[in-house]
Amino acid sequence: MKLAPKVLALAVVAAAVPAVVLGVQLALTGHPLLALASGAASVAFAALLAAAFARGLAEPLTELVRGALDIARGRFGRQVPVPGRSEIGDLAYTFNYMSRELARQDAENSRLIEALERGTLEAVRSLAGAIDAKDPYTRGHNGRVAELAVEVGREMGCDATTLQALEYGGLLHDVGKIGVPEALLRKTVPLTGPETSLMRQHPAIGADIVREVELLRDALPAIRSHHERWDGGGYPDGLIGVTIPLVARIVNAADTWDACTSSRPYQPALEPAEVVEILGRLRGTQIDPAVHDALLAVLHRRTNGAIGKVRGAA
Amino acid sequence: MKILIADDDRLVRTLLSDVLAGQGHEVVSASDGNEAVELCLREQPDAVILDFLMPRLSGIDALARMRQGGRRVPAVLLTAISGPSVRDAAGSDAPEVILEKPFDARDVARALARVLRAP
Repeated sequence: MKLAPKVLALAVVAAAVPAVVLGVQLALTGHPLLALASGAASVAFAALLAAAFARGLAEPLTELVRGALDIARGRFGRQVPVPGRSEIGDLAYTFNYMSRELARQDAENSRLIEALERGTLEAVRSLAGAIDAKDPYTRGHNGRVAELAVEVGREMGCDATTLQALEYGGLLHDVGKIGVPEALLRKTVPLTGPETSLMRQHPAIGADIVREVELLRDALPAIRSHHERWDGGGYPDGLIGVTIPLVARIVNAADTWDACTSSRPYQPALEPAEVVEILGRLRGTQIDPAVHDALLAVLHRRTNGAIGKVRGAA
Repeated sequence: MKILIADDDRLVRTLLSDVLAGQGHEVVSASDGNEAVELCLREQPDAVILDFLMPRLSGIDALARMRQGGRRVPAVLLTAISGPSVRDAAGSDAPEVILEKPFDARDVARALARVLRAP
């Protein structure tokens, strides 16, 4: 039962008892009307007082319930009015203190998490830097692929987890090259058959390197499968179409773009417009058509319309 | 005597410092519970005056930490809520005097004299 009607009922009963006693006495002495009137008046007065008191009691408690629910929703720092000095006032005052402290602790936790994430990203970057040190031709490549992959992912409406996987996956897609002899990485003439198969081990080696890192679990497919082809002709697993993880399809496209637009031991940098043409030829063979279109939309935006095109445009 | 004041309300800190300095005490002040504990351990004051509901660490939690080292620093606790519920919350580490807000300079002086006199 609610507090207000309870208090009201209690007060009315408390007032009615003496009123009845008094009324009976007055009635016996021959004043029945007076008895009725004074009885009614005292009960009414008690009811009014009780109603005011009950409201004063119930309202701050209702405010506290609202406040508690807001805090449960994560609105830390929510304050309630303090209804003067009483136990209820103390409760409201302490509630406000609790709420402010929760807000402060929450802010502190957010700062810590952010610092932790920054630290992790730095660790991943330095791991990616180890590949750069080994293969100077790819300097900055991993960072650029990561950035472009995230942009393409955003263009495709990927969620935050996927975007994070794209960033880590982009940075680390070639981490397996640590396991490939330097002479191969720097070779300017076409690789021989055995050399090619050695080179083609780098996605699997990379996946093995980061396999135990819980934090990179979502990025793992991007590392292992970034050389798969949409038509099934890629490596290491020969996956086809949508069986290739989306993050890998995106990193593959971003990797292709960056490899073509920067100079390599075996090939000078190509003109962006030329690369767009190449991408067009790879659409549906190597590159997922949807990813290709999103990439072109990103390039279109990046170059203010000089290259690429808006998705869905003819 | 060296007195440590801890209150997140700057006005209260200033007023208390002025009053206590006027009585010839040396005053150090902190604006939250953690700072109060640090200062207490460093400055070894003769008594502490702590607000109850301070950011980071409440007055009674701060007092418990100040006394962890073994030295039972005498304490006055200032509170905007009623004394008895504060005493309940404090348990064995209760401050010697609980002073309910609002108070005036004389109340503080009297409370301080009481805790300084206590053995």
